[in-house]
Amino acid sequence: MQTTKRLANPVWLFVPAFAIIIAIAIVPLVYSVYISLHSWSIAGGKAPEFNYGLNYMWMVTDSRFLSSLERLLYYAGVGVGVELILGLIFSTAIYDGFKSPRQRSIILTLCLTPMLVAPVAAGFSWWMMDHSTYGVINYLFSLVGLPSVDWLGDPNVALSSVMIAEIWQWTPFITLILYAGRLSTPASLYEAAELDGAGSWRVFRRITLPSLTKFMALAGLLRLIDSYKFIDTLFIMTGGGPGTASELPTLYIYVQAFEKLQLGRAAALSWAMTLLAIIGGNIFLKLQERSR
Amino acid sequence: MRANLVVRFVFIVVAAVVLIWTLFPVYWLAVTGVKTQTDVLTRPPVWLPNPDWHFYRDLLTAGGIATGSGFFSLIDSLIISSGTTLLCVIFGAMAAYVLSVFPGNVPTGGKSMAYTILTFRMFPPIVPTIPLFWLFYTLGLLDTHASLIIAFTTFNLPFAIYLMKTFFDDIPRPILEAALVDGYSPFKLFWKIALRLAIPGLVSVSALCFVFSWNEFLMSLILTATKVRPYTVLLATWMTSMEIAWAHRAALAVIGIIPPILLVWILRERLVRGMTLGAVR
Repeated sequence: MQTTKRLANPVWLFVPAFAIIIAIAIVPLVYSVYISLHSWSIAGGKAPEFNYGLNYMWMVTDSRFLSSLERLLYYAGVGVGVELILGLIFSTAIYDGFKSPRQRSIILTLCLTPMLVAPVAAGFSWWMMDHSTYGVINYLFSLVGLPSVDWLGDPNVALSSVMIAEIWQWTPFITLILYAGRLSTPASLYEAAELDGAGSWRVFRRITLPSLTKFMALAGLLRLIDSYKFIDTLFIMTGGGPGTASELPTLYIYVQAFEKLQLGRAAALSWAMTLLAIIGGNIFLKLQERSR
Repeated sequence: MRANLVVRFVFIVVAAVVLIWTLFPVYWLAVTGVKTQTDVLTRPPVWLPNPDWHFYRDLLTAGGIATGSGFFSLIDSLIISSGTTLLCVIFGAMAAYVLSVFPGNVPTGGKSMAYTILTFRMFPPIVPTIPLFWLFYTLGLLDTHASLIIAFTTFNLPFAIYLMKTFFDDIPRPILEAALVDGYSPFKLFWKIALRLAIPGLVSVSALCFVFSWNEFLMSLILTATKVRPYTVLLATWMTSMEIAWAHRAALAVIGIIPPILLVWILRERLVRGMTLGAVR
């Protein structure tokens, strides 16, 4: 009896995934703690040298890193804020503008196209449209008499141009979550409001908005995390330029590791950003649990 | 009633504006790819070109300035994405099944394990890439398909486990309990019953893993060089002579965005949970 029970223990099914995660996620991460505590420039061909946490000291005093964090605050804060507002408008327009499920489904799916496009391809398309001479945007500006803007070459505008591409690409994600949230709101609430003769705006303020708050929180948080995880669009549109005017922390890690070849410093920077990820991830899980 | 009609009309107008905003950049990629060399760089821009497919021909065949590199990079992307998907779905389903049905048997207790797994999903990809780069360099694996399959698994496997678990969670417990009472072993239960009931989930997890891997860029850029070059890397680094390559790159981008869009169109009803990372069931 004892043996059959032990044989029947299904935990071995879990072992391959567990082993893979240990081998390719945990081991490299632990290794990266080790790297972060050493002075290691792969260019010199020298062995790593323990440097007593100097990389972390360097990190908190490095002005290039600190200003990239400042930029992230603007980029993520404004970007995700705009995405939430647009997502709310989009999902409401789709849901309330069309009554047949089929029409809704087709329009919603068309709206999701941007999030399926590889960020590199999206960035490339926006890069063409943002071109100062041949770009469509400046051409349209000239038609209505606006001055032409050097979207990617002007240090004051470059990061915002990348942000616009990001907003274009990821508003659909928020639209999708809010639309699904809207579907899960009990129809009885709306029927009651109609009986009371409440106007559309009142219904939106009193029913739609409150029932979507938790979905907005979840969607916003996921987008906040993603906005510093992925730098594909930034990489292809400006590469952090002009100068470092649009450089975000994750791109700076790349620069330290693969352009300046300072693996130790890059690893220290990674851990700072990972901490942010872990905090964000745990808030997400708590929110998700509460919303069930 | 009339006020309601006005409101609906406004919403339909808004939806139309939304669609134009959403689809224009994709449209622009598509038309740029079929423009002639001179039409690409003109002002005012050409909105509806007379299609010229020679960039596509250059991309997909040997010869022309692209000499077929576009074709090989798409094949590279296909190999890597399929490999990752296969790995993640097989091992992900097994692990998720145990986490969902037998959480008590998992070392740290199912719950904190699920937490840890999702946390991996939150890491910026650059974080594991730096040590992996060094590891692969030491092992001589840089610039191979295997290195990218392994690297992509770091972020796709946790995602697959997390999402698959929610699908196993949806299977009514009485079904599983009845089978166990009938003497099914946990593996037979997995293979004969749970897996079959979770097929919709399996399909959407596969589709999403494939799309994520297909679209990935940063890890690919770092871990490959010349022998293997996924299409995203080629698209980003393809700088022949300045602006001349616009149409070539646009054509490559169009071919590259077709598979994800097709997959999602076919499976659209099933993908909501996965695309929202379980934020919506």
